[in-house]
Amino acid sequence: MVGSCSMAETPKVDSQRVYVPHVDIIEKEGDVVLYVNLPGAASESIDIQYEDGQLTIEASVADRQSVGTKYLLREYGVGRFRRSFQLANSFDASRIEASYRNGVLTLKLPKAEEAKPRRIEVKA
Amino acid sequence: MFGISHPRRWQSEMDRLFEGMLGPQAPRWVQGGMVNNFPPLALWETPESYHVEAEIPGLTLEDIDIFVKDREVTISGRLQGVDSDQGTLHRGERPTGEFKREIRLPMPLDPDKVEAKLSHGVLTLDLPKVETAKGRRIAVKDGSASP
Repeated sequence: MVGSCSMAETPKVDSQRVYVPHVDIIEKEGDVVLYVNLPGAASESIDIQYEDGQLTIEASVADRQSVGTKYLLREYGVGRFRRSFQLANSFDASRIEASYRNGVLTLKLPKAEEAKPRRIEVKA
Repeated sequence: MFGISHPRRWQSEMDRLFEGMLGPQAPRWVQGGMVNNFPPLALWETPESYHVEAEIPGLTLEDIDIFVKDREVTISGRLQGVDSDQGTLHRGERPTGEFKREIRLPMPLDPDKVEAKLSHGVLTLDLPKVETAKGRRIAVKDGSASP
């Protein structure tokens, strides 16, 4: 089943401090698991949408320091995370599971039942 | 199969994506088993303390080693990657492997008063300066008023 999972991304939105989170995507027998780094996001700020094969993950992150903070060093920005994938496989939307721990979102996309190989009994 | 694109077409799509995003064959940040510039840091100062913040998703405080001595702070640990037996890895952008960041501050710190917090993958260190290093505001007396 290698190569059965096609993903094309929509262009990045760059206005208003939008950041593209790092992801790992693993596929096993048509089931797909995504791990998404969303450091600083509270679980209630995470929005996941799956429609017409398009999966969109968004999270807004509030500033943690006051506006006037003078940084001696700043290697990352804080704002909004957004990433979108076009998934060629079909998934069972009702069984998609999401969990969030230590700043990492885990999304489990089970393969749609009709897309799974099925043994057809031949009646005599 | 049902609605599944041809493997070769998928392959070329993936390659194109990787070229555009991360370079042709460097999906991970790891070089020689060490993650470079991880975790990313922010640093700021108040009169009493230095403050370090690090984006370090996927770890608990027990997984992170924080070492403070004199003017130096070291943050180190190991990021567990995804096991290959979990399936086929289509994207592997999250950093994995050993990491270590060393920060050298201009003033000595009080290691006993250091506080570390971790919330949603963001580590915050409050690093109080030692008493003698803080500096003191000196009130200037008005010399002309004295008799």
